[in-house]
Parts: sequence; C-alpha cells; structure tokens
Amino acid sequence: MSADLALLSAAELARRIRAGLATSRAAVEACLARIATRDRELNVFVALDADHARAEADRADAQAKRGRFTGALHGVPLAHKDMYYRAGRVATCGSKIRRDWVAPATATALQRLDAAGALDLGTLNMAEFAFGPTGHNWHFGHARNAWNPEHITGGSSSGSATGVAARLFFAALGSDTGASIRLPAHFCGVVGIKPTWGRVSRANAMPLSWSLDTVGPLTRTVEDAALILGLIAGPDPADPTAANEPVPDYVAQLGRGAKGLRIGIPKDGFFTEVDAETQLALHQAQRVYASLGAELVEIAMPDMERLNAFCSMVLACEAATIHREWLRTRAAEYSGQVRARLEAGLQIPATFYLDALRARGAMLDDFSARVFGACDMLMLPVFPSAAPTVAASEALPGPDLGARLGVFTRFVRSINYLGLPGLTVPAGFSRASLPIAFQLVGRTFDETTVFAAGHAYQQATDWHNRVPS
Amino acid sequence: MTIKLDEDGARTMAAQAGVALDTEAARNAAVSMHASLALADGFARALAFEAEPGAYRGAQIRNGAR
Repeated sequence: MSADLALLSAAELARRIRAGLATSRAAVEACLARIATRDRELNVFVALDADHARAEADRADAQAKRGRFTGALHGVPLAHKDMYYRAGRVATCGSKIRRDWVAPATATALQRLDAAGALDLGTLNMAEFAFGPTGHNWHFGHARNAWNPEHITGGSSSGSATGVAARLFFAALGSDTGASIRLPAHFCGVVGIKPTWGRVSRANAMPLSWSLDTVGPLTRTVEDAALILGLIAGPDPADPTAANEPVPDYVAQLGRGAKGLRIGIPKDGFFTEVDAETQLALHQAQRVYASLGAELVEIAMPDMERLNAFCSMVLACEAATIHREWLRTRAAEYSGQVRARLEAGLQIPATFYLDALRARGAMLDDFSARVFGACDMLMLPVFPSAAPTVAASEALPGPDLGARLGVFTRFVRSINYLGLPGLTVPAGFSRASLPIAFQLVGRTFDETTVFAAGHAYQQATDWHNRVPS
Repeated sequence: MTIKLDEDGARTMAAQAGVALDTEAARNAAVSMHASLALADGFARALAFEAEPGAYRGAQIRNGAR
C-alpha cells in the first residue's frame, strides 16, 4: 500500500486521507522509502527532516480520526526549494554564503501551505541563489534528472522538479524569474506553473529580481498545480507587489475543457532551432487539442529576442544590486558562473535599466494586442530538445557564458518580462526516454484558462502518469 | 549602437559600484552584456518621451487585471 501511495497525485492523496482510505503516516513512509532509494543518486535534498515529518503526519492522522481536517492538503507531504524561509531553519539558497544562515521569519507561501495542512519534508537543491538554468550547483552538487542521472534537471528549481518526477514528495514550490519553474518541469516531465507576476506573495522568499520573481509549484498533474496555486495566491500585507486580484477557484473550473478555445501556434519558421522530436511532440499535442474541439490559430509573433534582451537587462541589474555588498566583500564564495553573471549586471547604465522598465508596459500592450487579440493562449516549446547531459551543459565563466546560458531560456524568459502566466505540460518522450513538454502562455492573471486547457490535455493523454524507474 | 564596452570600461563601471573586477572577469562581463544592450537600444531610444516604469501596471489593467 505504501509504495502505491507514493505514486498518487497530491489531490488524490488528500482525497484518500479525507475519506479514511489512506493515512498521512503511510504517505510519509512511502516518500521516505523512495528517498532512501533515489536521493543519493539524484541529489534532491539539501536537508531532510524525517522525524519531524513523521511526527507531523501522526498529528495529522490523529486529527483525521476525530474528523478534523486542517485544509485541502491535510497530511500531504511536500518539500520546497531551499529559498523559502522558515523561521529558525537554515535556508542556504543553494549558496556557500548562506550555508548556515538561519531564517528569521517564514515565507507567506509556506504559511499558506501550512494552513492548508501540508507537511514539509525538508529543503531542496537549487541553483546557487536561483541564478542558473541548468541544475548545476558547485556547492551542494549538481541535481540529477530522475529519468537519466547523466542528464540535467534544468534550473533553478532543480531539486523540486526531479524530486516530483521521482515521486519523492507530492509537489514542491519552485520560483521562476527567467525559466526556473517551466524549464526544469520540461526536462523532468512534470507540471510547472509560473503565475502572473504579482499573483503570489514573495514575502520571505529569497529575491533574485523583484520585477520578475514569481512563486509557483511543480507538480505531477495540472489539477495539483491549480490546487496549490489557489492556496498560495492572493494579496499579502507583507508584500506590496502581491496583487489585490480576486483568486478564482481554479480547481472548480478545470472542467471547462478545451472546446472552443483558440490556441495560438507561432507561424512556421519561428522556432527554427527546435529539434525533430520536440516538433513532433508539439504537433501531436496540437492534434490532441484539435480533437478536443480547440481551434488552432497561427500567430505572427512579436520580436521575442528583443523581449529577452530587456528581460536579461532587468534581471542582471536587479540581481547585481541585491548582491552588490557580497560582491564587494565575499566574491570568492560565489561559484565562478554565478559571480561572472552578477558582475555583468554592474555593466549596465541606469538609463538602460530604466528604459527596460519603461518599455515593459508598451511591450505588454503590444504583445497582448497581437497575440491575445487572435487567441486565448499560446502554445510554445519550452526548450529546443529534451534534457542535455550534465557534462555538455556545464557553462564555465568565459566570453561565451551569456550565449551558452541564453540558449536555455530563449523560449521562456520573455514571458517573465511580460509578467504573463506560463504552464509547462508534459507531452511525450525523446528516443532516449527523456521528457518533452510544451508551455501554454495565457493572458495577465488568467491562470484559470491555461489550467483548464492543461487539464483537458491530461485527461486525454497519460504522459503525466509515467514514472521513471 | 553607441555604447562601447571594453575591459577598462567594465572595470570602471564595476568600480563605481565598489566592486573590483580582475581582468578576465571584466572582459567576460563586458562581452556578456554587450549583446543585450545592443539588442534593446534601438527600441529603447524610440520610447515615448512620457513613458515611465509605472506604465506596466496600467498595461496589466488594460490587459486583464482589475
């Protein structure tokens, strides 16, 4: 029973616990058994607190026996990227500089998951200061892809993605500033939602770029992503950028389906670097949507490279600003790659940074008119191929560093600059048995529609149910 | 593109922020940023005189936010 429990979605486990068909303790033991088998190879956890999880599970089960349930994730074991602060716990942020830093307060996102009854197994590997798209970490070791440990997880939410894929926990928070949820979700074959900028409070989460940072979950199903985003979204007095927008009941609207949706497809030739396997997976996904009654609409895309350039400028400037004091005093404690990228941010004149911010509104208007004037959402690739190897994607400091890493974020970074929601949905496998996904990009604050479309796809396919051996 | 980034320029820029760059880091930082600056510069120079960073929130509202 325990081994089977680990394969359920978070929503299904929650339903079983509530119905008395499963216990939280059994779910925790199922996770711990898988962690014991796979974590050494995959390097998912920075810190695992098994005893605490067992105690919390027993407490949840005792409450359930009395018919008391804390919330929608009562007794469900999760774990989170090691940049969400919990008061009194070390939050390394994947770095040497913060290896022993104890957080003084708890992230709003964690507080909201606690209030929903979720358990927290521990902290997860990530790119140093969330500033890396591949999953390499030179301080804690590289996270490894659950489908083939020779390949990268993607980053920066590396442990979150590969841990969910390996079924070590039922879902995990990641963060996305320029790729960091959607890209590792693609490489690891899991669902990831980067919400609209401002949808989720960033209070007591490590900042990388305040104009771009977003908080979201990596999950096994779109239903789980909808459930968890609904729990953590909404205004927060502790974060003035958390939007005062109503949070829809995403789960209740999953059944809207794809019929009648207009899904935008970039005109041929736009993504010239996408390999044949990825093209095939996307074309097959388009056929699934057509069979579900969606209308596929060809879209003449705006200049995404320019959007990427603006995004890079904002990210580089804000990250360099946040890290400036440590660059002055503790530069040797950064990995070479992260230090070089932060130092690049010191090269941008203030006027360029401010122009990038001044252009943002006009760019969102232009993109929305061109794209969402003709469709309800865009379907885009996440990356040109399945996951490359760890060795081939190790980008060391050098003149080509920006270009080598830019390849990883080419299809996703512009969406952060525009602040739009993006959902990664698994859509097949390469000949080497590595996952391939697509992303759905929706209108500002319209996560509801992309969730409904993603869920409809998962009801018609079973890619998300495949489990790495 | 009128901005010229070279090693000396990169070191000078970093020094203004109080950060010392060694020669290789300065060279790499300059090369890394140059492409993005060039790509964005044309559009940035064409921005409306009145454009300001706060316009983004207005665009969010025009395009779906309340």
